[in-house]
Amino acid sequence: MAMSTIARPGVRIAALAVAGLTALAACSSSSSGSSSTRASGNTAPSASLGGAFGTIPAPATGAQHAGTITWAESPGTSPTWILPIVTSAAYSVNDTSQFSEELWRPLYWFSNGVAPTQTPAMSLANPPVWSNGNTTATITLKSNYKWSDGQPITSRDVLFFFDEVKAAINEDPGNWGPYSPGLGIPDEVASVTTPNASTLVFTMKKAVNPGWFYDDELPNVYPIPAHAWAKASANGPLLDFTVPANAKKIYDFLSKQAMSLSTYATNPLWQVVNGPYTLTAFDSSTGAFTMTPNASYGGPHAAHMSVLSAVPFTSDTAEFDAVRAGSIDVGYLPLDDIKQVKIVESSGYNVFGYPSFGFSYVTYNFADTTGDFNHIIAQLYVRQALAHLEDEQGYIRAFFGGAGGAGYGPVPAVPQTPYTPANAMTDPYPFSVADAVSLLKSHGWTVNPGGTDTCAQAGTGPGDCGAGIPAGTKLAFNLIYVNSPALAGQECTALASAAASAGITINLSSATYNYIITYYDDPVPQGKAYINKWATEDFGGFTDSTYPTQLGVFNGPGSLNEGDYSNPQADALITASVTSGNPNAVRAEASFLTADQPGLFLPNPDNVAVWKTDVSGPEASFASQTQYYLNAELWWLTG
Amino acid sequence: MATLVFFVLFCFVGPLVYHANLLTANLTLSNSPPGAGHPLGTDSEGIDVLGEIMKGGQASLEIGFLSAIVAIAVGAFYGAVSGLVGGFLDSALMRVVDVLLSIPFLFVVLIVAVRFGASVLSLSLILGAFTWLVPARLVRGEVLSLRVRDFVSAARLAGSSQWRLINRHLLPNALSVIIVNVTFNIADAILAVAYLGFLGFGLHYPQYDWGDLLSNGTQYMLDGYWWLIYPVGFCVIATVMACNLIGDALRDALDVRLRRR
Repeated sequence: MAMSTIARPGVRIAALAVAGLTALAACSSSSSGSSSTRASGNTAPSASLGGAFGTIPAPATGAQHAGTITWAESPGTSPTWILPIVTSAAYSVNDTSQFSEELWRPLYWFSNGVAPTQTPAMSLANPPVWSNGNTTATITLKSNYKWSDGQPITSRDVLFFFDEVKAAINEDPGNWGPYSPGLGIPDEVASVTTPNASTLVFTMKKAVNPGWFYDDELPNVYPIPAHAWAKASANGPLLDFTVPANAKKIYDFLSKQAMSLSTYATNPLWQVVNGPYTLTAFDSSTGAFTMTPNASYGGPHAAHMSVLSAVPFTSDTAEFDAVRAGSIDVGYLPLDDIKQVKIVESSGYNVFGYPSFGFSYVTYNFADTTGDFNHIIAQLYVRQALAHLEDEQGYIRAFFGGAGGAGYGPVPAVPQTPYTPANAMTDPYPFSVADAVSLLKSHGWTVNPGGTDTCAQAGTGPGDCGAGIPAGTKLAFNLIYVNSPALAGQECTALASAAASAGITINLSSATYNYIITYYDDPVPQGKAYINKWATEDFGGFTDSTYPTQLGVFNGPGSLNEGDYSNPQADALITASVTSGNPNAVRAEASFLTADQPGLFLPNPDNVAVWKTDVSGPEASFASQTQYYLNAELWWLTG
Repeated sequence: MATLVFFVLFCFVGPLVYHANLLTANLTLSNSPPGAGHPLGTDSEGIDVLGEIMKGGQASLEIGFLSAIVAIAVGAFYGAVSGLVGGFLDSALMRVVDVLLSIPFLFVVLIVAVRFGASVLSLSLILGAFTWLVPARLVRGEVLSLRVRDFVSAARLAGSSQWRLINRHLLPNALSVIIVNVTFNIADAILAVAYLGFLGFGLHYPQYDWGDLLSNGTQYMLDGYWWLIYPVGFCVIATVMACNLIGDALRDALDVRLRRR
């Protein structure tokens, strides 16, 4: 089961459906020669947090040579879009991180091994310099990156991208995946100017949080070749793209070309690149593609870059069979087959797994009035009791085969980032049925292990059940989990079992992922009719952006706030993360949400990458595969 | 028959003798191989597999019998009315059956199971609601031949109502067809529940069904956890085969034409 998402804010992922790796770049220079046997980056999780599975060998020191490296394209992840102005429909790792970003690189590269932090050497620009009260960002382009036709990358190429994004959004907001109405690029940008060929200045309409804008907005900006693309037809003249009418014509032309999948490898437009590869073959029916090294690439790369050949698979089973047969150079190990790691290693593969940056959780429906569940779940002590009934370490051991990392809040414990709050590093509510029972008893519930607890002391006092919970209310509710993968059912069953020991009756049922997110989602119109049909659900979770604010997910009016969680303090902290100048704002937000438990946060399974032992490179280039980045340009063949 | 009786006893009497805690997960015992205390090992939740098979068998057999009863009750009455009345109504009723038979019933059952949740009763009713079609056709065919027999004509001349004809004369004489079909329906329902469970839409904790157990086991096919697959797989196959063999034997015993051979 492949996950086809990218680490951007609020991208919903199916429950634990993370077996399929869809890599992407990141990492350090090819000259890196660390002998570490763990992923590089800033992450060194404690054993109790889990996370790393397997090891990454140090880069080989012997002879290097180039060849062809085959890379497994996980099921259902065939590229469908090539233009860096990516549509909402194509806003996924298979179209960006694992495909177009091999051809066109963003201004800033925010991935470094398993850590969602920047790799400066792989960024096309130096960090922005902020002035005028966080309303002006001045960016300087580096000189070592050039277009494949020899032309320099200039600030006009960035301005070209910005103007084309505006033209795209004017036609349809869905024409640019990262677009958030009224927020960030382009809506909060008053102007972009280019004082010289290597400098551009973003002037904001109002002050923004520099950390948020740098981490979350600017990495979505890609210089695109104005000298080759600013035209309205294949043989037409270059147009002044700063004129909105021209920008529209150009966007219409480029997007039409991007819809023609069969011409991806032959269209001259797509041959002007600044990334490490050029596209030389593309099979629009299967998604197979071949990329050859771009000799003009100015970023870090192996001395002997190989041809990259993407091989599509129709199922995880087929991919795993290919790995067992040794017919693919770089692939992944499906989580269901995690116990086969010894066989894989003995077949001549290295194995490394790590959780991607995001969170899985059981969503609480704060609007479900069935059995006064809305009032019950509004009580923090109830959410704390439920958290005490979750055995994260047990789940990782029993269900993930040890290949997973703990997750106690919306910003997970692993991979650790500069924004991970202290209370997310240790379990704030460790597994303990006794603690759960104690919490319930101290709040007026008659605990009936094996039966169903009832509220004996209605009221709002410190020892009472809480506002809106009448005496006699039973602590029983339903939990609907996604029917595939099986891990979701296993976790929910274990939770229901532990809950039964504390007298909490959780009635389990399953449904498909699409059914759950269509009907059991309070903010959407279809969901309103079903608002009292579900109390809790496990559809999966969300990826975190580099700057992991939960804007949209846990703020009151958020469009992805599935269970109507609403807390004024959370709203204020989330707003501060985006608008204040406080560099610690998002950490404060994450800390609050970890403590407040807007959902029951679950451990995150590893993405497990495998690669043949004769493929070598910097450790981070292999570790980054677990975060959906592919850095094949840093790999070489040995032997 | 002995096999079926064995499984009925195994599933319903077995838990009275073999006590297993099926309610409390014990993740420290996850996927333990057969050994002391757990003759057939444990599953991923650390719950005893032998106990689960007994409990799962209860649900599978209950659903099998209950859905067969529903299907036969509806199908026999429907077919009898259609065959007895004849004419336009017969044609209309049979076209309805044709239409319903053309619907991929498992697909519909999946949707209904998701929409209304799965329990022994709901699954029995859902399966029964989609499996009465074949008995209806068979009974209708039997009634078509019975209704022109002398004893039916005599009953009609004596003033018997249509209801009485169906109730007292036609259905009792079509009993051989009905009984044989019941056994096949039980087998089909057990398999259908296994399909649903295998796809993740069967019963949920604290209930179990064989399909669900089999589905959980197949995750570990390459891991050598045979105790999660073979025992429950054997139970499904043996029970279904027993039902089918009983049906064949009953048909041989009750069908006069076959008896003559």
